Amino acid sequence: MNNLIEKSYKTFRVDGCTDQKTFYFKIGKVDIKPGQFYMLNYNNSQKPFSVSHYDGENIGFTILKRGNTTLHMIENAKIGDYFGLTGPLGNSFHTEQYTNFLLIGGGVGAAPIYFLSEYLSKINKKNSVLFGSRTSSLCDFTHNLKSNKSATVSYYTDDNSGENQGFVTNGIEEILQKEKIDTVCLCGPEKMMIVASEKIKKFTSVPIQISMERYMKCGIGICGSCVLDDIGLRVCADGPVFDYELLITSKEFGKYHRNSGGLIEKF
Amino acid sequence: MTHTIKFAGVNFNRNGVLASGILGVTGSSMIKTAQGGAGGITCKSISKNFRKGHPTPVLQVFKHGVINAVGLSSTGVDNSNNELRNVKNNSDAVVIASVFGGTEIEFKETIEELDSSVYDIIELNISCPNVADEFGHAFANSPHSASNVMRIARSATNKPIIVKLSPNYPNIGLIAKACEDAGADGITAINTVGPGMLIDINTFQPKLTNKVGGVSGPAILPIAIRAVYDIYKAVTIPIIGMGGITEVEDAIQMIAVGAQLYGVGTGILYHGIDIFNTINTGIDEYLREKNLQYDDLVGIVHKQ
Ligand SMILES: Cc1cc2nc3c(=O)[nH]c(=O)nc-3n(C[C@H](O)[C@H](O)[C@H](O)COP(=O)(O)OP(=O)(O)OC[C@H]3O[C@@H](n4cnc5c(N)ncnc54)[C@H](O)[C@@H]3O)c2cc1C
Ligand SMILES: Cc1cc2nc3c(=O)[nH]c(=O)nc-3n(C[C@H](O)[C@H](O)[C@H](O)COP(=O)(O)O)c2cc1C
Ligand code: FES
Repeated sequence: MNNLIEKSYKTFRVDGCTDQKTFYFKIGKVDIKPGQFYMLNYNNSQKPFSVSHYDGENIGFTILKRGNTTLHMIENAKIGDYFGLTGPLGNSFHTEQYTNFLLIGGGVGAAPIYFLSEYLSKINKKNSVLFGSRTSSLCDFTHNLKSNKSATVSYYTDDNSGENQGFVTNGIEEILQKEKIDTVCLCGPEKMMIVASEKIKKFTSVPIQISMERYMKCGIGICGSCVLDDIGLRVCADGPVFDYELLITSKEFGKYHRNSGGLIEKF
Repeated sequence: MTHTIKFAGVNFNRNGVLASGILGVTGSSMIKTAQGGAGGITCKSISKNFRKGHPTPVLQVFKHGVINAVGLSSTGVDNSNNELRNVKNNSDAVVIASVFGGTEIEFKETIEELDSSVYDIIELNISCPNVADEFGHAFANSPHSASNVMRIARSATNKPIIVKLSPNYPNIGLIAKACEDAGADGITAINTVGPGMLIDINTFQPKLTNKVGGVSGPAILPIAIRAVYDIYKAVTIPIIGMGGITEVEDAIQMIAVGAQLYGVGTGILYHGIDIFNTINTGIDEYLREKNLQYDDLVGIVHKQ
């Protein structure tokens, strides 16, 4: 239960650019798995964020400027400021039974994928990583992954500022032909994840694990704001990682989500 | 539970009820909770119009429970009609529509705008502030204001109406009695206790944006048991007893002091939605062991 109780930590390092920052905290030894997230509370603004880095001592969260909370954090939070951390929360990517991974992170979906690649490389599991973003500076935080010999990393940017132009889904075919991939892990915009999954399905029937995002009020499974229609599962407590085959039975997957007031908003 | 329980004229197939405000925003989570063994499902309290609620953080966990200031957020009556219809059509659970308002008339109008085919019972959440009260007290604060809401709500529907009471005002028994006299078909007790507050020891800031929030979970069980004990002595209408139930022993105590049905909210945090199946099975075993009927257990404390 201790993971459910908020504790505050000083941020000791902040990296990134004006649109996206990574905040680091010294939290010591905690059992954290890739795919899990924390509720981060900065000056009475709280939202869920995936763990993007954890080395057994220090934890990192990579935050992209989107709306009120993230703007507040990115523009105001500086080294020495306290954040309330609640977590780790939610389930994680299945890694034990697999040996050769394809990882795809789109936009700020790169955050949990970064930690996953880091984790897999540490236990010497082969992983091919595709990152896609608007512009290359948003992927800078992942560059040191390239030094891991178990990982092969490629970048796709919309504005052609990275290695490859175009959508992150463009890289899928080549990897599936080259590697004996036995699972795919995805995090990013839902439309991208659907296109990617459909593409993957044409080549192989390996399990596709998808990390989902929904508006979360509590993050711990009781308020009901993150529940998927009609399957009734809570993204915060039953997810955020779900099997693609399960997700396609949810009528809102790729189509709509609910806002803070519980009202439906189409993608 | 293998036999049905009649509560306020409505048959419940199982004796646990999902408390209002927990997994009660969308139909799909309410249906799922019914599958976890809840015989009654109470939705998040509904107001006539859309209301946003407080900014996050709205909920914080401590060692013995939770404080929350989700605030009375609501998707409004129209959306709630759709969500409740989904529950009604896709589960065998009794649907309890919780409503609230800032004035008696608002309670009435909300009930009138709800489609009466989508719920079985109306629950009046009178723990919300009465806008006409100069001190901002809740309707649950006095027998007079509580019974006023009840009386006016009565004219809005023919379905059973139950009143949800707050433990934060003196004489909960008196308030229950006033509601019974005004036509209530049952009582739900208790709502959250407090409000309470938690402080971050590094920033010295309250942990909730709203600073204070209602306390629920294990910490409030003894208060809830006492409240239901007092209410049972004061009224003849049936009671849904809730507040801090996480184990079968807690539910048995609640029934023993007079609750005809038990309710769970925060308990889901500790045991998931299967908490209902676990408690129901536990109660059945207990009854078998003690050679008691369910009805014998209800209020047994008062017969000693
Ligand atoms: C499990 C999980 C992990 C997350 N991890 C990260 C992370 O590592 N890094 C990160 O930057 N963010 C992450 N997020 C998203 C983050 O929690 C915020 O929701 C997001 O940054 C917007 O917050 P905000 O207050 O700044 O914007 P808001 O003011 O809440 O909203 C800004 C805009 O985004 C839209 N929006 C909000 N939520 C959604 C949604 N679910 N789908 C589509 N549009 C939406 C709103 O409609 C609005 O137009 C994660 C979310 C979840 C659920
Ligand atoms: C997050 C949360 C939201 C709640 N929202 C409501 C609500 O909208 N209406 C209501 O009558 N009670 C609400 N309650 C109170 C519960 O229904 C219940 O009465 C109380 O929490 C005590 O039961 P418990 O300890 O089993 O949770 C809420 C409680 C919690 C924890
Ligand atoms: S955010 Fe509250 S149930 Fe998931």
